Amino acid sequence: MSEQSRRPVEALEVLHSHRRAFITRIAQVGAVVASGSAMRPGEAFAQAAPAAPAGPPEAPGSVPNPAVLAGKDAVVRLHSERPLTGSPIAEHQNFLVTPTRRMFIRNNLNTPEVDASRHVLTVRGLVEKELTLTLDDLRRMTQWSQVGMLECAGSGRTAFRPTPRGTTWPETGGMGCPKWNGVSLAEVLRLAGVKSGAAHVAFFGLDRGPLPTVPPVVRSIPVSKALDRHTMIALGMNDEPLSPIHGFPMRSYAPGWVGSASIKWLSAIEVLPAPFKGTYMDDSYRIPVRPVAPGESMPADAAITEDWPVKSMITFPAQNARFRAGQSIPIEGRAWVGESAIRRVDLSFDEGVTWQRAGLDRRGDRYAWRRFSMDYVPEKTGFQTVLARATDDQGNVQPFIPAWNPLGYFWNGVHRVGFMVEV
Amino acid sequence: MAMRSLLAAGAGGLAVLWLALASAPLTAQEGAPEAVLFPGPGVELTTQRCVVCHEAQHITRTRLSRAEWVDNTMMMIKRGAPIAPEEIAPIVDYLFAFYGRNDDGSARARPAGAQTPVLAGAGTPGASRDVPALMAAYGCTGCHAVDRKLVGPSFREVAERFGKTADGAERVARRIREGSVGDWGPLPMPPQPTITEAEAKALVAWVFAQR
Repeated sequence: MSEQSRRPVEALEVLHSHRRAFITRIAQVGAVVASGSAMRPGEAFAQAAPAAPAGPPEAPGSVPNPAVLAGKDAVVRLHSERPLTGSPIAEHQNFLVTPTRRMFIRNNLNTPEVDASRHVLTVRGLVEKELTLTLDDLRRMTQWSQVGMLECAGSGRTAFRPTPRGTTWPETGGMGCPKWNGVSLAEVLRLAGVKSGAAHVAFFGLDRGPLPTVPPVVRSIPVSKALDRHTMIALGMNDEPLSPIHGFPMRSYAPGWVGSASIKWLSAIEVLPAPFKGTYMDDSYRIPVRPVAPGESMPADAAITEDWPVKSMITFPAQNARFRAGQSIPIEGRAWVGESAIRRVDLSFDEGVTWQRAGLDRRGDRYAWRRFSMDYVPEKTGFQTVLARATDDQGNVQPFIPAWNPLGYFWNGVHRVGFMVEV
Repeated sequence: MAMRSLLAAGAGGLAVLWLALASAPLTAQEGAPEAVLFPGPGVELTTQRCVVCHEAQHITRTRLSRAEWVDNTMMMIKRGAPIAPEEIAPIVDYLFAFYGRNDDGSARARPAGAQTPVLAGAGTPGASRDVPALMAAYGCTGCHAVDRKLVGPSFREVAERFGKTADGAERVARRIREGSVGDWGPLPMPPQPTITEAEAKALVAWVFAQR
């Protein structure tokens, strides 16, 4: 990144001054009001948002974890409660389109309970005309849908040795491929008119932390990605309105990119001359551009994580499944890659010594995962394994073990499933 | 100074909040990482500063090099962790001593004599099997103890003051979920909105049983 692109942007200054003002006020009054009114990040920016009420704390505007989990299948295993994270593993992901009840959960803060009738989306920064859009405004725009991947940057983290800090995603947990309903972000940006000099577009989430000192979740992406016709403001998932845990009433969706580039509970979009400066840009979601030793700190010149490298997983059979000798096993899985396309998937039944090409379904939506399959009749009985390895159209091949990095991002190692063939 | 006191206040606040639950914490499972930190030098500070926002399992399931613990602590400060500059070293020392990783990737041996942590409040009157685990999960014990003041009042004090009035249970349950300041001094207890009303009620019942 150039020196210029690292320059702090004005938005951060605004943010900091608001935080300072808040903290000063708290110190003077000697009271912490509800975090909901105190640190709602959008309020620092959205003109239409109500002023923080003085006096007693307002009702907590957060959805309790049990209420969130009532909308999830039991196979969505929790990895943490504060913040709430959870995911199903590959054998519970054997879908072409991920059902909402199987979509992974990754919060940074609490799950806000947003009043859609009062919610506004502000578009500001380097634009000809600032916009304040309601949910109805967005509903009146052209609606479209796509099936597409969303995957946390740390998906699969626990497969790294040693395991870096962060959410303990299982090897095949932390991703999903639901159907997204909404409007094109480019259409909204065209309405506002992006000015020359724009480099990044930042997205502000409404989620709040447990303490008033907790900064809001903000992430920016390059203007080129923001104007890509596939990048959305999503209002729905799988033809239903977004559920609270997935960003109700609206969120951004940057398909093929790390999950942090898609901001839930979207309250503001800001067009900037440089990447946003903030903890979700500068302290995490970064990956070294040159190899580092396990345990090493993040180098100063680390890159911002963007599109996912080529990856695949076996969704059938399940780990340790049992089959009868002579029975054909319908092996199946999913393969995907951030910005290129899957060219082929190969399977190995001898721990990677030899490989056989799997069948690959026709390509669907641009950013959707693709199903691969093979009917396999084992020649021997006993314990056996199958490995899957995808190749993209740029010639990139999944490694057995991807490069260790301090925050454990981009695990895309070959997935291996063991099964038993009984006489 | 204002910042300092706010931070301390914030940590204190969360504490009282969550107290008891009708059901076990969602992550409490057999063979799961401990729900409280190992006793040892720095454990109180680390609990107050970290468990105020995260369940202890974020730490107890983790083994990191000293450099990684430093990096993590600094990142959490940028994420709003109420840690003062002079508190960084003792917190990192504690984390590395009890949750450290050797250069060869193996778990670092804990200091001699380290005792497996016991859930605070276990075996006390009214404690169902789940309540102590829940309190640990939500960090109540980072700022509150049964019989002595930590950052916030002891559970016994809370029970004495509110356990005798008709609407006491309701008031404390609301304070757990919505936060409160002034009952025990200027340090606020932050709101804990992810707790359900039923959970707050169960926590209050347990706290009131400590009289």
